Amino acid sequence: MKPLSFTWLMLAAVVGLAVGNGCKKGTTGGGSGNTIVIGHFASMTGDTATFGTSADEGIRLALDEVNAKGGVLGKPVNVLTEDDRSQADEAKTAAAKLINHDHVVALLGEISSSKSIAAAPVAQEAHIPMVSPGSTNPKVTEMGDYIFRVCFIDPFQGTAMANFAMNNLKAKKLAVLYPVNSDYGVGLRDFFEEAVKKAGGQIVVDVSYTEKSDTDFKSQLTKIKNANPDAIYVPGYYTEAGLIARQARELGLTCPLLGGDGWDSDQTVKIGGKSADGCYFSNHYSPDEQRPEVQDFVKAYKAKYKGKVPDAMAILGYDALKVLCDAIKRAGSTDGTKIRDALAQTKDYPGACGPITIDQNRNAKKNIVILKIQDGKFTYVATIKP
Amino acid sequence: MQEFVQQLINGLSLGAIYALIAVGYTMVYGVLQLINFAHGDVFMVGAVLVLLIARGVGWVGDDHVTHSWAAFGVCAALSVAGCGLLGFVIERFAYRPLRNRPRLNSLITAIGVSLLLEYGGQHPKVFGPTPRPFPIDMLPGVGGRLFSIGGVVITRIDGMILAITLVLMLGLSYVVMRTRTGLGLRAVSHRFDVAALMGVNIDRIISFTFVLGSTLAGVAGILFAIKYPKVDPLMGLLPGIKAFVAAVFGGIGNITGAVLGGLILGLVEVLAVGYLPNGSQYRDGIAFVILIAILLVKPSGLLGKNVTEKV
Amino acid sequence: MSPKRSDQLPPPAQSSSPSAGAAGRTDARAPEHHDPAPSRWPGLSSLKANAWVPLAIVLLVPLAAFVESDVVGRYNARIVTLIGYNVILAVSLQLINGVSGQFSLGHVGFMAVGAYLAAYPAKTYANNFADPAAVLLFYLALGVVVGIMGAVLYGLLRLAGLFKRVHRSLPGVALLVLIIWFAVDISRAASATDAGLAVPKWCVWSHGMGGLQDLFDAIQAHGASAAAAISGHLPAAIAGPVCFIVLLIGAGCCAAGAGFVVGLPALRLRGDYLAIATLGMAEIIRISIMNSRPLGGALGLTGIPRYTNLVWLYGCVVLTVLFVWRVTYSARGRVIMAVREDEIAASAVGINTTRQKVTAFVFGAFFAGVAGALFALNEYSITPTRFTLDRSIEVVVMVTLGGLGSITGAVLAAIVLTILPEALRSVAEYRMIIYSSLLIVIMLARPQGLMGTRELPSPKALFGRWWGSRKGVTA
Repeated sequence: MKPLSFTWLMLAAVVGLAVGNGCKKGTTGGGSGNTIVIGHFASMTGDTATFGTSADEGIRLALDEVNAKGGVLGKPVNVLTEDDRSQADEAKTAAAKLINHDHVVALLGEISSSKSIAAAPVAQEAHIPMVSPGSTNPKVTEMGDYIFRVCFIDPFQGTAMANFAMNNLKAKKLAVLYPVNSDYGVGLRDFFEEAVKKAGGQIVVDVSYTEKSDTDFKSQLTKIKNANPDAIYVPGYYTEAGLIARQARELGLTCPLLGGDGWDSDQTVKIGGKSADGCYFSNHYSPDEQRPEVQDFVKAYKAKYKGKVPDAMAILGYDALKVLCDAIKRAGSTDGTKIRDALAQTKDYPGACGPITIDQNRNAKKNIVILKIQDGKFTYVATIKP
Repeated sequence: MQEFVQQLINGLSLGAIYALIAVGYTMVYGVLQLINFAHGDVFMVGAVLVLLIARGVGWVGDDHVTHSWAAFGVCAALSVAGCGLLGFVIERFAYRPLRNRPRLNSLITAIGVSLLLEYGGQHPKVFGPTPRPFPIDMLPGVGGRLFSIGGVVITRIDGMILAITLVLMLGLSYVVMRTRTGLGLRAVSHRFDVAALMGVNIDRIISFTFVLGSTLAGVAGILFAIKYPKVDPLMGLLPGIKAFVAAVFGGIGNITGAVLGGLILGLVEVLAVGYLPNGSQYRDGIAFVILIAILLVKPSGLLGKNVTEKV
Repeated sequence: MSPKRSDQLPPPAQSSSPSAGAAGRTDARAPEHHDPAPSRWPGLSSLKANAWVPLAIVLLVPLAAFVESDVVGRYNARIVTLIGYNVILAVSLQLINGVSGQFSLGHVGFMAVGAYLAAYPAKTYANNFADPAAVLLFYLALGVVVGIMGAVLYGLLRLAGLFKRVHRSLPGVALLVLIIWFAVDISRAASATDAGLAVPKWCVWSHGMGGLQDLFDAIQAHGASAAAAISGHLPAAIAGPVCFIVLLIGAGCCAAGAGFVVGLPALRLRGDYLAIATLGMAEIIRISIMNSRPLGGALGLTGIPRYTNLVWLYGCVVLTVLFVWRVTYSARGRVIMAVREDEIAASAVGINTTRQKVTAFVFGAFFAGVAGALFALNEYSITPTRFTLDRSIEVVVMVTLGGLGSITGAVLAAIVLTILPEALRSVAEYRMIIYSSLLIVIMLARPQGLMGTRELPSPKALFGRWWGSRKGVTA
């Protein structure tokens, strides 16, 4: 056996680990035990890790508040977070683990639409309701009647930004620079262009970049500069938005850049520096809003996370857990179907980022806010109602 | 015309960065015939270390930045030295034990090292997965334009990158062509075993190559971060692959070829985005198409020597 | 050596393994090789000797049915599913990387081709798996269109080849450039009409391509009713399985075709160059899919009907292992291995080395395509981001870790490396750090991989020892 001993050792180690992992089953019994367990699968590492970590921070804050008020149905609530390494396959595995291994009563999960879409069938088949904090692609909730979200959807966001550009900024010639490998970016671009054309505007250039890999956009921007547009729509994430703004200004492009909720991070300003000034983007909320819910949330978040300003994913995670707990409370049970029914009837729930009403397509009807970047700060410009 | 000239400049400044990384690849490949997959991650470490050191010393905080070229210089020097050390460690502990094994094994450890650096960097206690802004505000006056003629813009950063690349390449060619160590390096890359017979200390030369290549990668990382001020643990992935393409394109093992390959790749990419229909969607594909085309027509690359395999 | 008789030789494990450690294990199969009776089916003796494979068939499929039955929980079933995909991918890559010695880093590209070309007809034409003939029609139409395109290209290239002065690689380059050009052009035409921009006059190729598209549509339109009629004759009970099998084979053939097109020019290269060329090809495939409107672009295809279950999956796993095993330890396998061991010597004894390499590549691609089809028909949705370089590297790591050239090694490594990240879930943020460190440590401690080039010993040899019967063990 000698030459193979190493192999067997490795195998034994792995099997041991797996069995050890499996044996922990039952110690955390979903609703039947003394706690109510909710699962959260998120990108804690990998290229969209910021969203996962932000959402998780928001969820943890909401969890503290829920438990401080005595939990739900007289039991404390616990949230288990599983990492999906920013990969769709892993998202599905993580969701399956949470449902079957940890017996969660409901799932919170994924900001990125493609990962929510991948994991949704698992929740649907197991009849476990899943609430996505921030997946804005319309297809997510079409995956089944157990899939919900607490944010607006891309058609609304793209149209809102197009109308804002045409009406408020008086832009007639628009350029689009979108991330070709992002479901989010491609979706927003389509809805934006449709809305612009409908309103009589003109798309003068339509170019793309590759998200998470391109850092040089000068070539595209030079092309845009030649077409001399009134504004440039960049429906990407903050990771590229700052760089794009910076390079646009270097080339002497002075028109404003417009973005979506993917821009919402202080990184946009930190990376973009002064170049990001004068740009607009649509978002779920603004920390400047004077509504008491927002101010309370921002204060609590800063207290818990060393003065960090919460981004949209944090507040959406916060709202997602709150809405879910509210639904469990109203359902009076941890049965998946009953929670689903309660979730579907959510109406005017006073969420931190605005009242939440779940419509018949299981999407949230919410207001959209337009923010302007000014002197490194996001300032509130307008609210657009659905 | 103005647009075309601007695109040319965009391409050159992008190509200069590829060239700097590609040189490291080509040197390691020259002596070891190994695709050092971790090279792109050493590049990342160069940029990340500057930020970590600056934060550690307190020159960069959440709300304040020390505006000082000297302070930045210290961080950069430390970081580059760190990269050199990292290169040494990687070679000593991950590649050397496998040197007499099939190359595929080293390739797997290279992938392992690369993953280790990426996931290690993503650990919240090290750096965290979130991209962070690079403290270019430490360098007063680095932003802005060097000059602009008739709408064609050259930024100071681009000028700086081109100048530093040029100086480093001249220095490198001096080291490789005029020093004893350089002679050893060339001997090892020419014929591994015979060089040993001629009294070249192979281990030392290979270590030296790794340190030199990693140092250059570190410098490239810092320059890259100044030009595109965003750092995260995965930032080395794509520049790494592109630079490898550039190295192969220019003729792997050939330093001039790597520089040329880098510049050409940068130019072609930028021009493809600028002038091919839907070119921006196929940008990364174009790099590979060029690669495959050159491999088919001239497998040894632009400047590589055609080595016939002996039986 | 004469390849025709080489199936009588011991597996190359013993002949090519440099480590002396192998000597201790040769006893496992040695008695079988002394069997002088020539078999009617070459390779059957090695099959009998290694009873793992028949054992696997007997055990795995019912086991899969058991796992599927929800007793063990969906999470465990999910892991078992992932193991299934990975085993198929690893074993088929073993054929390319281990057996034929061609280092491919682009395996996932073929998986992507298989996944998309199974998902698209399944979603559009299969009528919820009731209409196998329509799916068959899709593949036929695709074959006709691609065949016409290929014939035209081939003709053009032959014409170019008439000028003796041109470089011998020109056809490959021209082919590549044309394919990319088509892809760019199509997407240009598609997005231009969408965005309301005028298509420039010089985009003539788009119109030519439009003609092919029309041809495809015409075949589809005229054949649809006939196909439905044919499907109607099938009993409803078998329509589903037949449709599924058609999809698997069709997707596999598409992937094999892609493997042929990619392999023919790329396999002229060797070593790292080939690795990077295949990597590039896979990226090109992925980028082309990402830009293709019918295939959903970056959003991917959603709403794909599901048919794969663990029984199907593990049936395919066993078939793949069986097939690769038969190829590897057959006369043809010996020829392929001869190319691996020494290409120059192999060509000196009259082996067409390019042909052997391409053969291995095409077979490998076929099974990757089947894995892709199984994957797509299980996941409800697929996106191009699931077929990135990371995935290719994962499979290469499995193959290398299992031991290059060892089929059972690849199976073992696929199982270990799929379970490992899951087993490490409890240490959350350290798990990928541990995973990558383990990778380095294993490679340093055991450079030849878990199994070297050997296979697992046959059950008889393994258990015979435990039961005290040392009959077959001493040699």
